[in-house]
Amino acid sequence: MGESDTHKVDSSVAYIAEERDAGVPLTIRQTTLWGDVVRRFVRNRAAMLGLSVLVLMVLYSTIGPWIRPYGFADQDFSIAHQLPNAQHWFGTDMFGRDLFVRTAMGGRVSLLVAFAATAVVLVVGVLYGSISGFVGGKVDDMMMRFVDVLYGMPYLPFAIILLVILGSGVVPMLLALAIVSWLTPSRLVRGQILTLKQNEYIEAARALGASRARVVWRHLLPNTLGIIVVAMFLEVPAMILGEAVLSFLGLGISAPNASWGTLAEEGWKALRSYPWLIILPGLFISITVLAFNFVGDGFRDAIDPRTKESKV
Amino acid sequence: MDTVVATQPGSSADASGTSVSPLLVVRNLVKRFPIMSGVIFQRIVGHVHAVEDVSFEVGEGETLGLVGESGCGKTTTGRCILQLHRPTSGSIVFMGQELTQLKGQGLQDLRRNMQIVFQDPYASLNPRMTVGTIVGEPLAIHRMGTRSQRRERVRELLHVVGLNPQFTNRYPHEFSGGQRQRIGLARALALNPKLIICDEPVSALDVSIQAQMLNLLESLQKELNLTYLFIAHDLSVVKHVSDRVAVMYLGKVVEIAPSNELYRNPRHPYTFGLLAAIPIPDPKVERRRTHKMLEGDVPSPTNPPSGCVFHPRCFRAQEICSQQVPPMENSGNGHSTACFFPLEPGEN
Repeated sequence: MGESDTHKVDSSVAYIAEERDAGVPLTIRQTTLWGDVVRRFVRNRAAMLGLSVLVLMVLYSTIGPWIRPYGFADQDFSIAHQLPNAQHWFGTDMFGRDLFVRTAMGGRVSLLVAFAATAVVLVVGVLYGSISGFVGGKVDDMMMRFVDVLYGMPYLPFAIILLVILGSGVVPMLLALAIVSWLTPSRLVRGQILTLKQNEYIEAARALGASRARVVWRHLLPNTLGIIVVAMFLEVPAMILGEAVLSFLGLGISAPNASWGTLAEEGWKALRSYPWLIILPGLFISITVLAFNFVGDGFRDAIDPRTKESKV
Repeated sequence: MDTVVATQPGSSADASGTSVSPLLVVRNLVKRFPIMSGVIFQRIVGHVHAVEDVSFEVGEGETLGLVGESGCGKTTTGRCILQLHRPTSGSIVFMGQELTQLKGQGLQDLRRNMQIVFQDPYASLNPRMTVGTIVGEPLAIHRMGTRSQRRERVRELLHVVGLNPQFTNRYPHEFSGGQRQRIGLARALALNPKLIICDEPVSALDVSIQAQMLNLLESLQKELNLTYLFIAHDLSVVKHVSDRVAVMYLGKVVEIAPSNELYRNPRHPYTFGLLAAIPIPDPKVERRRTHKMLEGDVPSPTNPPSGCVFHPRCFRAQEICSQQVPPMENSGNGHSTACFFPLEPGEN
């Protein structure tokens, strides 16, 4: 764009000439950060692919069970262990239950638990971390020592104890996952806020009379969004896997209900003779996790205005 | 510890002889930062004496330069005036109101009238905000005008600081250092402030851009009747812009004088040492000069020397200098020095 440092205050000629050179119309629309984020995201192919896969997953989980005329718990031993065919698109399991319907039902549980737990984790973690980092001093010390103590607890036994206390089901499951998982995001956000707090633009905002809420909301959080988003897209697959682990241990969704975790667990028992039973939920889990990573990367790039937009 | 007023208001020696009551009066300002130690049970083990008993005033439309080495408390003084740091003690009267006691809406209203331009043009603009949002933020915070009025004002401000008003949708990283500094200036001007604290506004810029920025500041001052507190460590820059100059050393003001007077007749040995360190851009003259350089380093502000804080490095120091604090003494023409043995005119 060249150095347009024309210092004369009264020379209106300078910028008008420049406008003509640049060939832009005199009035242009004011863009916002979020408008730009969406525009950049849409241009990123991998991210859009990931996003479409995720949308398909959600659609499949939602309406999948109604597409085929089978109930998720209908047993028929005469058709057990079938590979995908015209009647049973994804095959059947050892009880002859239709896997297309069961995988969709499993997706509902897995995705719901993962999304809800991630939402809880992020809200709690971001709030906790930003308060700790922003207030600083003694409050920060106490809040972070509390996190340290929780960090010291082993993840799995802690979750198991929680599930024993809360009972089994979708809501206790997501609560247990959230309670053991909010620590890392809170530390990330706190660290980021501590660094950003030192920036002069924060002081500039304070000198302008900006309220604390405004400083946090308009200046600090947008600059931490990058890591929050990445944390979120790492968190969701971790939640899917966490749910699978707990289901595997018999603490999750109980039969005949299913999640991707319980489906994989059932398939694992017949690994030698019927490998399809574990391949199918395994595929769903890994494709979903991969898609989340693509979307996460794309979103992180889109949020940072400094990333190049040169890709056509 | 008594400090004599540096300049009498209304003394016609100043360039701004017309102003009767000064816009900003700083009296006995002290700011100490506690040093904490301990892991869980923290206790204060000492203080950094960032600003110690600083007094000065700035008249309306005037530029007061504040110079000194890094760490001498220039920036802290500026931040205290803006209430970004709450002073430990002392008084700051701005537009007739005591700032140190002010809170909430009262402080908010006064903030409209004082703004700051920062040193680092890279750290002082939020990288996630467009230029339009950055420059419009003061208007949004103080709820001035409608959305479209604000947008119009932003375009006007960009024009005033010599930027293309079309730039509103761009992000700070798309600009050069000089342009970013102009954006910071536009933000500071948005609320029509009376006082702008320029915290080393040009020291991060290339020399060629420095001149442009200084000229811009100067023409804006005339046009908008601005008052500047110009903080810098570069004496030649300060000489160029200031009506009066205050020299700080280790948290204290050691000398205040009208700009020309200070450069011609420095009275404090520290000022003398600083001026002697300015190179003259002529190799022949420079070779013939005998330098009386300052020796040693600035002592730690956690444990400043007794008496006159400059005495360990002073070439004129005598016994009394380490025992008593020299008071500010006015030697006429608005020239005040805190020294028991100041240099006389012609002595250098």
